[in-house]
Amino acid sequence: MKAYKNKKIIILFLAPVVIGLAVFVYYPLIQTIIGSLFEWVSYSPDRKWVGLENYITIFTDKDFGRILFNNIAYAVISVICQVCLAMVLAACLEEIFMRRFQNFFRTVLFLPSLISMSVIALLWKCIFNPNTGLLNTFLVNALGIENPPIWMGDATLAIFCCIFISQWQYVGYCMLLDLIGIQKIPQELYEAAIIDGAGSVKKFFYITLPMGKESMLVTAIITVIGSFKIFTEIQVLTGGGPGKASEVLATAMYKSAFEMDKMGEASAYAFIIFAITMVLSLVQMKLSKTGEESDV
Amino acid sequence: MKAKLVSLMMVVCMTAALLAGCGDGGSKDNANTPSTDENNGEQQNSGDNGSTNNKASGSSDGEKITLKLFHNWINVEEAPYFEDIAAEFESTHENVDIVIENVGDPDYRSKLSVMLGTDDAPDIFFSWSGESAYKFVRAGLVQDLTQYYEEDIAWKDNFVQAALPPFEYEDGIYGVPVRIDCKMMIYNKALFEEYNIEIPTTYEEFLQVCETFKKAGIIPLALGNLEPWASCHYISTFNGMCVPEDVRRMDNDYKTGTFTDPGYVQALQMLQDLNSKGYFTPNTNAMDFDMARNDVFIGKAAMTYMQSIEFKRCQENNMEAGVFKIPFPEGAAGNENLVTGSPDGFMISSKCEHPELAMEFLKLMTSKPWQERMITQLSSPASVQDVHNAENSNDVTLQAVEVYKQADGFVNWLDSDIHSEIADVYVPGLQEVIDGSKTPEDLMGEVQGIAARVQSEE
Amino acid sequence: MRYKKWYGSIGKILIFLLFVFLSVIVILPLLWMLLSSVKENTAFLTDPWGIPITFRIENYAYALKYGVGRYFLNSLIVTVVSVALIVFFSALAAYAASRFQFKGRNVVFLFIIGGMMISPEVSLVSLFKLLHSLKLYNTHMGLIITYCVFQFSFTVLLFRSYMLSLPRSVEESAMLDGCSVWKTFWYIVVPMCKPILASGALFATMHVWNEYMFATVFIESDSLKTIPVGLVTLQAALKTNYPVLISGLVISAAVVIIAFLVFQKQFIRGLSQGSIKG
Repeated sequence: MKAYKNKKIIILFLAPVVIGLAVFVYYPLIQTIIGSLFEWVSYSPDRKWVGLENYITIFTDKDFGRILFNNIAYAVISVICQVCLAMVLAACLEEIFMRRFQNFFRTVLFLPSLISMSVIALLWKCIFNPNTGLLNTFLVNALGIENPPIWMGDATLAIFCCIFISQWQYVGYCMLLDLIGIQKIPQELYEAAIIDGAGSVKKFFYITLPMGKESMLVTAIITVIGSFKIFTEIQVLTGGGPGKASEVLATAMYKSAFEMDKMGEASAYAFIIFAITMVLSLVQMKLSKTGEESDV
Repeated sequence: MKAKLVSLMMVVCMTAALLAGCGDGGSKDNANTPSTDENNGEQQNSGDNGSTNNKASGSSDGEKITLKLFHNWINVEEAPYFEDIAAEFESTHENVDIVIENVGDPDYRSKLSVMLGTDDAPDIFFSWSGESAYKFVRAGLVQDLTQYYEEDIAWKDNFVQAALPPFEYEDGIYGVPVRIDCKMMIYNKALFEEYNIEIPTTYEEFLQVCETFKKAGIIPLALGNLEPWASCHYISTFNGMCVPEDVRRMDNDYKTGTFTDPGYVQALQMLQDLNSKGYFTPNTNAMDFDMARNDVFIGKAAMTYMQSIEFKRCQENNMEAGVFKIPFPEGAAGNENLVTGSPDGFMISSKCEHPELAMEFLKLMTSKPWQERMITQLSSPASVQDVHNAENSNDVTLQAVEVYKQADGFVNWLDSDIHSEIADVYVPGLQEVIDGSKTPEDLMGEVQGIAARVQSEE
Repeated sequence: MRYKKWYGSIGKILIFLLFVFLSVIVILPLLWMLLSSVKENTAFLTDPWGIPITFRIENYAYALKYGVGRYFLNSLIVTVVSVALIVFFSALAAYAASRFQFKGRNVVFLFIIGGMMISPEVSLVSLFKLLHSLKLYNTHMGLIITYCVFQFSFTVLLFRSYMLSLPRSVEESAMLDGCSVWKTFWYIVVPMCKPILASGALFATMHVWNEYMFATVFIESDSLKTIPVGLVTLQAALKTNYPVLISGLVISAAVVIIAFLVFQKQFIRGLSQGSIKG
């Protein structure tokens, strides 16, 4: 279409978003990247050039492995739950026998994602409380477990508690996204498949999955990126503890910036987060080969 | 034609957005005058604000001096205190406008750091003492107030004298203490009576008391250590007990700190023992601070280590409370006569154009009537002498005041007294020492390592 | 055949039970919150999981008294304006990115979605200084702009992938009939995109309504603060009175939940109108 080549319109349509991003997102980012090569504090204009030293400090920190592990665990579990599980759940809800309840379950499962983290933190701190919490009361009284875990106070479990809460909050959100995707798939495809004798499982693998690829890609990118940016959840639930057992990149960055006054190191953390998420999403896009061919 | 339509739309949109922005900004400037904001006025003490409003508008043609005040006292009782004191100051200084801004605690530090770096830095701001104040001094961000103290010796002498050194750096004094926050052991009187327990006078007796309560099925010491600053307050006390004072002073200065004194390990051992003997709230590392502390109020726990600015919580929860200082362990190397805590105060930014006015404001804050009001309204212990009495303060506060009046000085909170990079290893490590996953020796080894690194870097 | 049917219905029951189970996990904590908000403080502390004996509705009045109302209004203004701008501008950009052919289109698209990879925490200091120099510090406009830009990337990505899957035949025939690009966008693409626009609006609402960090850092006057910041004040002020605190939390959560229910109806209608089908 010729109209789709009108330069003026292209520029006009894209301008607000592109300019906004350039000024308020990328410009500060560039400032941050430059800042990662210096040693400085936020309250003083003096900067000392240190080159890559901030990065070396981070990579040689003995806790860096743990931090990275936590982020990766976050990403892997989130992709499993929020991309795969959410898609399966969405497909289940689209099954004819579930349609009747679809509205109810979709709404209910979506609710947690509407609630702000300060509410959720208080809620789950009460539930995970090892002495009086709902969870351990249940484990001890109903299941007779004698020494139930202490959850957020346990160095191994702390990060998984945070991950769990995150899933609790966002599986419904992703499921809704997937539902919209599935409902866009032409019904004729399913009807044809049913005539061909395909069962639910086959329909899922041969129609829903391939057709929902684009929306799953969106969810996957967002989930993985979100996992490497994860901050508020950890900060309000465990603050990175016990010790540094549940520290992630963003909380480490926040600590460097505002507790230790090492803006250079914090900027370096920021760039690491940016680099990781950038590479991951490029790889994802390449692998699923979307974006390009699909819209020609 | 079509393109034009679109571009017109866009222009309209953006202009509208911009206008909205400007409008907002403009109205803000007017509304920013202290608490004369209509909303504010309508909702809270409208009488007071109304009068200020008139005055302000009356003299608004003259040159207005704006003083920006930044603090973190956001409790419901606390915020109006500042509005009132600002109103009084403005009534005697017609050309001065005090703009108050506040942010709650976890964010206060970060916002302050960021703001001090801009041209719009607050003129007067709240600050803790010790290293967390010294770093601003080193960066040249705060004014040396020594001359004001020297000019007005009577005013200087009126402070609780131990409250001044924590604001001194090298040869200057950089802050004005306004309240004193010290940590004392609060106990539930009813429980002490029920189990016929005397206030312990030695550390051995203290442990005995804990043991008695533990056997009775009552949590001896309520402690929620999900955020490790809670146990950090204990270790501040224990370090003060176990480490010679001059050694500790050397270590707190990052240029000379080594943390090799065996007293530090001893202190960590004391902390670990309290947990391994079962005296802290079970699973303390998993417990939220406030929730764990509530056990004292409802009689499920016997004691809790509490900051004096929070003593009012006992009253709020209808608990009859007593207070004592954790007894000194026999033969420990530190100074027995220290109290854990610090004065909190205000500093004046070096960018402040009217330091003399800012100083006058702080003098008003430390004047007797306003200190008294701070005691009654906010239950914060005063930083000046002889204002506490049986009428304006409760028993526990009076006892705390007595203790710090006689003290040789303060053991500041460890996390605000040592370099933040060292604190970043030391403080989270306390959780690991408590749950036994790290030995005291190992943690101190790590602290020594980071201290050496910090020393070599700076 | 019969075997298969039997097998299938077991599966159906299991799936149904799974959803019931998930719903319980979600509803139980929320219900607990609702019940706790009307409890007495001592009842909350001694038996946090018990059913309230006395219903103290006044907890809500108390929470509102502490300024929740004013913060609420601020949040409403900021949210409505931000969401409208986010949806409108993102739709334009997504349309351009999904339909138009031009040099460097992929670069532009990457540029846009690249914004998602940047943590707002990272740019906090530089953003603060930037807003300061643009005189946007301590204005709702400054807050709105930052909310918009950090939400653009996600929303454009969301809209674009939806637009890509829309059939082009309708638009193309409209254009052949002489419809302008703008009109095509406004009268054909936007209506077809209603469900996704509603979702985009919903996601933006959630984000903006609950955002905390920018709201603390970029706003300084108390009269301009939004709800999440106000809640923290409430939390500090009411440290020992959990039920009142929780009722404040319930109020803030209720608003978004209601907004969701309203939006939801709208996009279900959008979905069932079926201009997508085919």
